[in-house]
Amino acid sequence: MRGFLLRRAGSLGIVLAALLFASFLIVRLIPGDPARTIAGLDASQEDVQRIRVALGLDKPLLVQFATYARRAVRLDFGRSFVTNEPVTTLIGDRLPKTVQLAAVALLLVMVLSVPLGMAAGAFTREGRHRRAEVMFAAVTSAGGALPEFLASTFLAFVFAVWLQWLPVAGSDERLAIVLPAVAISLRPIAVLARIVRVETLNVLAQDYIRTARSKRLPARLLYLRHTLPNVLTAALTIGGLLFTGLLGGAVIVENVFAWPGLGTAVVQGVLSRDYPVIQGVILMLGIAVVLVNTLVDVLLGLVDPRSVIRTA
Amino acid sequence: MVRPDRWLALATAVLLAALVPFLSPGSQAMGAAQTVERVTTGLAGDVDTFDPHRTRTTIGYQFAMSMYDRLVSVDANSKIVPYLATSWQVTPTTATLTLRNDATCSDGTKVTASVVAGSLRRLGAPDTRAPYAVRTFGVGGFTVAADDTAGTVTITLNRPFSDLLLGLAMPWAAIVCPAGLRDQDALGAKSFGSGLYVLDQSIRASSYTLVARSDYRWAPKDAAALDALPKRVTYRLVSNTTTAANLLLAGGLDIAGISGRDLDRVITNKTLARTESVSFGTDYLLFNQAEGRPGADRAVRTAMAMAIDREGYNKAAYAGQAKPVTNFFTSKVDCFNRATKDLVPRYDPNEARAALQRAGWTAAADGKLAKDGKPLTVKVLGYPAQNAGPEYLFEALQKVGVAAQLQVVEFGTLTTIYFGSGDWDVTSFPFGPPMPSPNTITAFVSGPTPPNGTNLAHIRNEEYNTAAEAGRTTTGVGRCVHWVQSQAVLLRNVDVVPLVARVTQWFGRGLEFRMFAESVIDPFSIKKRP
Repeated sequence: MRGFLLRRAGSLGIVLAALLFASFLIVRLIPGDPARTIAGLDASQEDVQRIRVALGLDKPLLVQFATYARRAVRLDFGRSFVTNEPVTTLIGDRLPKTVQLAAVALLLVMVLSVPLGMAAGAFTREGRHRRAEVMFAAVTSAGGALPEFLASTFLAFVFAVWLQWLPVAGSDERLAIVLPAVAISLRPIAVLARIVRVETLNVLAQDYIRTARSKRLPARLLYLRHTLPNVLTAALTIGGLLFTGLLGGAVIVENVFAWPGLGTAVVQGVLSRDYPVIQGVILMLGIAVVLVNTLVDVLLGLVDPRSVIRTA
Repeated sequence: MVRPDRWLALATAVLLAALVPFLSPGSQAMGAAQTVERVTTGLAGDVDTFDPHRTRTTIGYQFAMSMYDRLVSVDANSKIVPYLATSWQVTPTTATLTLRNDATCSDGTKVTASVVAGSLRRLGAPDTRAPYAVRTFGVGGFTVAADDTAGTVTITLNRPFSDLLLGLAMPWAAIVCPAGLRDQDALGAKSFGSGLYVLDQSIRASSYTLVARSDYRWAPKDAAALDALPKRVTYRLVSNTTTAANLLLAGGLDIAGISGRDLDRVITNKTLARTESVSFGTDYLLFNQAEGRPGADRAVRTAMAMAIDREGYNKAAYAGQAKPVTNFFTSKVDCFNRATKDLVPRYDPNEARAALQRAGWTAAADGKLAKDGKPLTVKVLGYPAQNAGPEYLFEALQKVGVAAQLQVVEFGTLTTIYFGSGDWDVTSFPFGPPMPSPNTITAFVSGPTPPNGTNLAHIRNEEYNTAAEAGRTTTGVGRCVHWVQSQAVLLRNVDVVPLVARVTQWFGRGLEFRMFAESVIDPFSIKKRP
C-alpha cells in the first residue's frame, strides 16, 4: 500500500511539473505582442518597449520560465499585466465561484443521472421496451453531444429572456446559479445516465439479483438495497472525473452567464494577452484536475485491493 | 335652464382641471427634472485601473469622467466648454485658466489652483507613465504655476502644442485630489476626485457602484440638470454581447452597447431608446509604400482605391451597420474637413483597370496585370473582427486584374506584421484615436517607420508634414486652416483612403444619454426620457 501511495505521489509530481511547463508555453504560443496589445496601436515604440521591459518580456524565454517556475512554487503568479492586481488575489476571489458552480452542477448530475439511468435500465432490462431503449439512447446521445455554449444560449433565452423565471446573468441573486449549473450539467447527465443504465443492466443480470427476485423480494428493496450500491460505485468513480470536466465546461458557461469565476478571467486574459492571469488560472485548473484524478485513483485503490490501479 | 354664473363656475373648474398638471410643483411641464434613482450599465470589459492618469482603456475613462472633474469639457457640438475653469486664455505655448471657487474634493478639500497644478504635474511626470499625457502637453515638456489668490493656473509648454486646451478636456486630464497624490498606489482602486460620483462598492471583475455626491454643484456647462442625474450608477461587467442583450431585454441592465447579430432583437424592442455612437476615427485603406512595394506608386494606389466600394466594404465588414465616409476623421473631430468628397477616388472598377493599363500594366493571358514581366501582386492583410471585409478587398482587387493574396490573422499577429515584418500591401486600418484631435493621425502617416516608429505604411508626404506642423503650433482660427489642409493633402495623394466610420448602438431603458467618445457615456447626460 505504501509503495502504491509513493508511486502516485511521484507521478503527481511529474504531472505537475509538466503542467507548469505547459502553462508557461501555451501562453507564449498565442500570437501577438502583449506589450503592443496593452499599449494600443497608437503607442510609440518607446512606450511599447518600456511596457515590454516592465513585464519582463524582453528577457530570454528560459529566464522567463525560471522566474515563473520559482514564483509558482510559492503560489505567486505575478501581477496582471492589465490591472496590476496580484493573480493569486484574482484566483482567490474567483476560484470559490467556479468551485461553487461545479459543485452544484455535480450535485445535479449525480441526483438526476443515477435515478434516470437506473430507471431506464430496469425498464429496458432483458430486451424489454425496445422503443423506450431507442428513445433513451437517442435523447442521451443528443444530450451528450450538446455543446455547453449552445445549451447556455438556449437556456438563457427561454428561461431568462422569454419566460423571465430566472436571472439572465451574474451571481448577485441566489437563483442566478441555476441556469449556468444546468447548462454545464446537461452533457454529463446524459453521459452518466447511459453508463448507469448499462451498469444497472449488468447488475440486474447477476445471479444474486435473480435469487432475490425468486425470493419475491419487494422491488423497492431489490433496487435500493441490492442494485443501487453496486451501481453507485461506478457512478461515483466517474463522477469524480466528471467534476474535472465540469471545471473545463465552466470556462465557456461562465462567460455566457457573466458568472465571475475563473472561466471569465481566463477568457478576458486571453483577449488582453494577460500572460500571468492565463498562466495562473490554467495552472490552478490543471492542479484541480490532477488532484481530483489522483484522489479518485487513491480512493479506488484503497476501496478495492484487487484494483489494477494499485499495481499500475 | 343653467344660470350664466353656473356656466362660469363650470368653465373655471374645467380650466383649472386642465391646468393642474402645469401648476403642480415638480411637474415636467414646469421644467423640473425627473429623478433617476439607480441605473445599471453594462461594461464590455473590466477596468484596468481607477487611476485616471494611468488608465489605457475607454472603460477606465468612463470611471475617470464619473469620479473626477477636469478643467474644461467638450460639449455635443465638439466645442470646449467651462468646467472647473470658468475662463481661459490660450497661446501656442501657454494656457492660463481661471478656476471656479466652490469645488471641493469628496473628502472636503477645496479644489484650489495649487491642487489643480499638483494633479497636472503628476499627469505629465515621467514616473507616472500616463499613456496619453503627451496628447495634452505635447512632447517638449511643461511647467505649471498656480496662483491661489487669483484662482488661476498657468501651463507653459517648452514647445508649441495647439492641442493643450482640448487635451485638458480629455478624461485622462482628470484632477486628482491631494489625498490621491499622497497615496498613489490607492489611486488604482479607490476614488480621490472632486467629481459627481464617488466609488461606493467595487467587486473586482463583477460590478462597481458609484454614488452621487449631494453637495456637487460644479458640473460642466453642458450638463443636464444635476437633480435629474442618477443618484446611483452600477457598472456591471458583461463581456458577452448576447448576455448583455439578454440582460437589457430582461431588465437586468438599463444601458448597454449592443453590436453584431444581437442588434436586431434589441432594436425592435420599443421600450429601449437607441443612441448611435460614432467613432472619432474610421477604418481606412492603407497601402504599404515601402520601397519596392506596389503601393509606392501613386497610380497603383489610386487604381486600387477605385476598385473598392465603401458600401460593399461596409456590408462585408459590418453588415451595413457602419457609415461609408470620405474623410478619415468623423465630424466629431476638431477641424474636420467637410469638403473631402471629391478628393477620394470614386468607385469605378472599369476605370481602375484602365488606369493601371495606362500606367503600363498589361493584361496577361489569365487577365492579371503585369509590368516588365512582373505581376501586380499585393498582400491583403486583415483580422477576424473585420468579418468578411478583408475577403471583400481581396475580391475587389482580383476583379480589376490585381493578383491579390489574402492573409487574415489574429489581431496580435496583425500588430506584429504592422510593426514588425511589414509584409503587407493593402489593409483596412482600424484607426481609433483616443481624442477628437486631427493630430492623432500624425504618428501613423508621418515620421519614423517600424520598428522605430508607427508610420506603418511608409508614407512620405512633405505637404502633410508642413501642414501638420503648422496645425500643431498654431492656436486660434489659423489652427484649423492648417489641419483642414493636412487632411486634404493626405487624401489627394491617396496615402489614406477612408472607408467607413464604426457605429456602436447604445440602448437605454427609459433613459437618454450622450456618448462622449465611442464607448464612453457622458455621466452628466444620463436622464429620464421625456
